[in-house]
Amino acid sequence: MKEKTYVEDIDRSLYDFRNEDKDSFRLEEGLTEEIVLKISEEKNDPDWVRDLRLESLRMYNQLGLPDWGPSLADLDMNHISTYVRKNAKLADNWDDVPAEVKDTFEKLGIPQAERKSLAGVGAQYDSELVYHNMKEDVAKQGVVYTDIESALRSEYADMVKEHMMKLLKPSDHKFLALHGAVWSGGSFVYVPKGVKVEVPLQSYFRLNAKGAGQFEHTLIIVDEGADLHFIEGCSAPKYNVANLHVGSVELFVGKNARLRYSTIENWSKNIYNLNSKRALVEEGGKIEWVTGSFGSHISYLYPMSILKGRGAKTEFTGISFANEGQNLDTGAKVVQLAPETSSVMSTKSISKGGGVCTFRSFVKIGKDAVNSKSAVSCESLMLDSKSRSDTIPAMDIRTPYADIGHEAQIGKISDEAVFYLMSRGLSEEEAKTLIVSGFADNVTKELPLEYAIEMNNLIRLEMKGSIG
Amino acid sequence: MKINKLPVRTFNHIGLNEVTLDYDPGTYEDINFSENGVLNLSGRRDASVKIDVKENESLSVIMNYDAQGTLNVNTEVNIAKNGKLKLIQIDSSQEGNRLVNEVSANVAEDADLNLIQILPGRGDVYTGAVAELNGNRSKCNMDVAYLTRKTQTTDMNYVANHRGKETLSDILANGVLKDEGKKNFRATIDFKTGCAGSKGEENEHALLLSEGVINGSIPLILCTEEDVEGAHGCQIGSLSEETLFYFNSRGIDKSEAEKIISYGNFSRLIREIEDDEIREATDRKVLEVL
Repeated sequence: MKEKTYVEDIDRSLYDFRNEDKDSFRLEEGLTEEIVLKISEEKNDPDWVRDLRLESLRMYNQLGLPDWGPSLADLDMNHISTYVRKNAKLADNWDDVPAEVKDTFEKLGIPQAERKSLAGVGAQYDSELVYHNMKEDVAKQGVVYTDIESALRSEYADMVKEHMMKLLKPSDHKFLALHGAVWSGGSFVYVPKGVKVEVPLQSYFRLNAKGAGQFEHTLIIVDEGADLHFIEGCSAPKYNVANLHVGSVELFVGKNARLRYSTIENWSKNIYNLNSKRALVEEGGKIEWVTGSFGSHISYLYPMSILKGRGAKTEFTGISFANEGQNLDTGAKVVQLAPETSSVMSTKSISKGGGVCTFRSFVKIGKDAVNSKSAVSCESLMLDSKSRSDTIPAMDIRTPYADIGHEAQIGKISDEAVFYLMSRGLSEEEAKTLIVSGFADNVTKELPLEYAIEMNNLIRLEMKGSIG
Repeated sequence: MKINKLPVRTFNHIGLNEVTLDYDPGTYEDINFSENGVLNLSGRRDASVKIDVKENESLSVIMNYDAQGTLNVNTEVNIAKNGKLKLIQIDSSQEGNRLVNEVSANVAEDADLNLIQILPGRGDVYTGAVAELNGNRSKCNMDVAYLTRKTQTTDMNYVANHRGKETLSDILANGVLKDEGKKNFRATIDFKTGCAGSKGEENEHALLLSEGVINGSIPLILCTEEDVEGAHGCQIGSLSEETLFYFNSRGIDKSEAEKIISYGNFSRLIREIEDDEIREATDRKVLEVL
């Protein structure tokens, strides 16, 4: 029997630093109508948003917790503050951002990435955005990239009203109802017809406050023939109490448009990450999801693509890495409603140190989706027998004129491959890290270089300590 | 009553976590059938069947169902060390019968369960099997052929729980859906902690022949053991262009090609029936409905 040595402490100081909760406005913990109305007042909501919040709260109180997936019994809303705002105005210049907040994002490399490789950046700290800016040449193309609150008071207010929480409805599940009641922050993006944004936009979400929730709403509309790559990053310092992230992402991809939505999620390991993401794709349009899930205590995350128009496409490429104390329940959903649509899902998961990874998916091919295709592939790697890895893919096929394939594999790192690399001078840990990085290359090769490097660093951090 | 429950639940809205039926599970006749041979079950003879395979013993049992209306059968199998059981269950019921068929098996060290189910579209079928691979090097093979036609439902749930070391499981379902047939296929390979060296595979091929069919599939792999290999694969759809071209080039049209492929699913398993009379009768019945 092989013996394994585990080095328990992993240096996560890159993400784990925290600031004192000073100069902040913080609502009391819990979820009541009074709190929801205070948020609405604080944000000076239009009437329809206030009404949406109250209706969502009513639904939240009616809906139950899911009877599948990781247990949420320890998540107590009475100990979560749903709104924490730094006493600072939204800035479009980093020099106008409070020093400790600016310092936080500099440590995370956001201003540097903005200068080097991004067309625009939004940075949210707890419940509100503190920085939002976009390059002038991109703005000149008519691209709108702003915080949702500003969009609600701009010429795009009607567009926001027409789309917001229409794809993700508060009645869909308890946590979308929660989001509808207390949402704050997030981004609004509109890419006009035919405009191709050559370099990505990025929003970064930092949850600093202890025992708080973050509920940002991202709404992206990519009009006919347009093209956008949007990157979402998130992290938080670790506390010994639960923090909560319940963001929502609604994506509208127009006729022959393309949207790539990339996420590197690295929440701290005390966070409940109960995020919802959904895309509606018109004729000839394409949504590409690239997702790396490394953080959080518990995650429920299944980005959904609704292929509404003829020839619409989706590609989902994802990786999850669960370590000690983590239960990451992730995957994707696809609903193909029109002829000649296609979906491809390719996922990898790695479980280590007692971590639990679940790949959960759903593919529905409707009656009208003739000549459509779907291919789902998932691979899972178990690095020890303390961990758990489950694969739960479901399919509902309602036309004979579709070609549906699914395959999955689970296994361990090949002893032969480790032996081969060790015979060439690598230590066992280096060999395993190299193999796991290679295992994850379906995601890394889809990311811009800087993010691929970040993801490989995360893999290296998580692999540190498994010496067989 | 809820049956065919998934060992781990998933999204409720897709309706695959279990199936709810209105039947009374309390009126079963106990039958001990620990011998080679044919057990005919017909009419309303709901049965709890027990099959014990002794150490080093090999048994071959055919359970032949010929019911009209409803038939509910629970089969408990215990296979002792180094025992072998080939269990063939055939639905030869009258048109429109509803069959509820559940198998639970305990498989000891070096023992082997070979379960074959032949379901040629007689009526609604709710069938499932749970194999506990308790012994080291125990094996189970679950091989199913089904036809779902008219407005029939075929609802399946197969589970292999790997507990012993170096255990093997293989689950395979080949089927055809036509008319307004509805089928759900659930399969689970569950690698429990301690089942080091085990391997499991589950595969499904579903041929869809009509616009009114509904196909549900959910093949699970659950794992809490590092040293295992698990795989699943499925292919769902109509005959590929290449297959049709192959048949066309030999003068066989699409409709005939579909019949040949459908029959192939069954004939592979029908050949396993050792009783000449039942084998020929099953073959005739399959050809009739195809």
